[in-house]
Amino acid sequence: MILKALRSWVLGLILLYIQIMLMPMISIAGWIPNILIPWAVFLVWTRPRDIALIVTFIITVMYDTTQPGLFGYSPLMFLIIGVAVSEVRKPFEAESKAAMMISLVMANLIWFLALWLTLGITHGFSLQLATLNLIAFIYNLVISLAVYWLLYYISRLRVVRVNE
Amino acid sequence: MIKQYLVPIILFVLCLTMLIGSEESRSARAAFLGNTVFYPFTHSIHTMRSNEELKTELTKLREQLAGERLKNLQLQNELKLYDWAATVAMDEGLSDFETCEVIGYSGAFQMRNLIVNKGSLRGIKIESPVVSATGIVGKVVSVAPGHCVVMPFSNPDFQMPVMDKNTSVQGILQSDIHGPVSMNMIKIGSQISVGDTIVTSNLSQLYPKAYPVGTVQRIKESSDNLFISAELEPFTQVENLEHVFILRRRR
Repeated sequence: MILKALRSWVLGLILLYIQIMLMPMISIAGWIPNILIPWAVFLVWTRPRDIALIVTFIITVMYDTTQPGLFGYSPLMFLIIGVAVSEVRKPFEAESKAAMMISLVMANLIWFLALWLTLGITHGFSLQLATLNLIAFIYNLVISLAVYWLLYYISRLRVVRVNE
Repeated sequence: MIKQYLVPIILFVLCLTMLIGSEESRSARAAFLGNTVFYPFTHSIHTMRSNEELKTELTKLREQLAGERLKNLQLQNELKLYDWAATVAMDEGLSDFETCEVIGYSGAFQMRNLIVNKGSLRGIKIESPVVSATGIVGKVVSVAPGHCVVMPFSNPDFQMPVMDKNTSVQGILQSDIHGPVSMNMIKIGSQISVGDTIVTSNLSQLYPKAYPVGTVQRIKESSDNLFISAELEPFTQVENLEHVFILRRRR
């Protein structure tokens, strides 16, 4: 169990470095896609809930040390996403791809709704904010789908030794 | 039920602890964790970002350096040209000169002519004399609007009257197909010796008088024993020319 948690943390660390160093290169209109969202969803689906929440919490706290002004925001949002995804997946099968897609969309929705509320309260609600948020949501959703299924299929890779 | 949600509740409380307070207090908490528990992570991120910034600055500085080097080279070339132009001596019969750059060659071996980058648009005419900072070069044989062709003295078809600077002994400057430049048709018994400076003759209708041509290297008798010829070392190396000056006559 500890080994699995450690492996999840290492994967999260790799994705965190990619998020900080490489994701800014594919930003659109100043919006940097967040690949920690699909990773968090993947973690909740493949690990026990508490392990997934603790690992996600540690990684997002590390992420927030690079954004000190919003320190604590990412861990809180990812905690909400983690709990929501773990509740949503309960009635579904463990390998239900439709449920995975639903939880991925829901995770992005939670993230961007919270972002829209936060920005709206601090800078005022406007049509421009809503439009930009919508574009960012769609862009992030596309990236999330790609990253999630990449993680899914990588996790299914097995080295098989054939004795002849 | 509380036991089921114990971990999320604890994490929620921790999140609130990190989030509450002003921006300064959040930044202080982030800095504390970044310098203690997560120091390897924050240090590595800081190092990578510094490297990126330094790389960008290095690229910018290299571009600036290349630009400054090119500018420096351009200024050096302009200074060289200015120095050369300042050494050209003028006869009172000539108005001014046009500075030209050698841009190519036509012909092969010793029949080679020079192509320069100025032409009829700059007032250059056929038969205009061409000089360099060190001595004569030749004459213009063909003119186009943007360029002209110069026959140098090393071309066997070029001939002009020259004389000894000290004794005024007259002769004809001509080049051999095999390379050597000679002062021919010198009367036997004339006062000319090795080392003498040869200049353009007062009999020349093309060049100003006393413009440097070369120095005498060897004296030999011609095959008909009527004249002697002096082999010259010209002051101008035609094959190394970058810039020439085309003289214009005052009307």
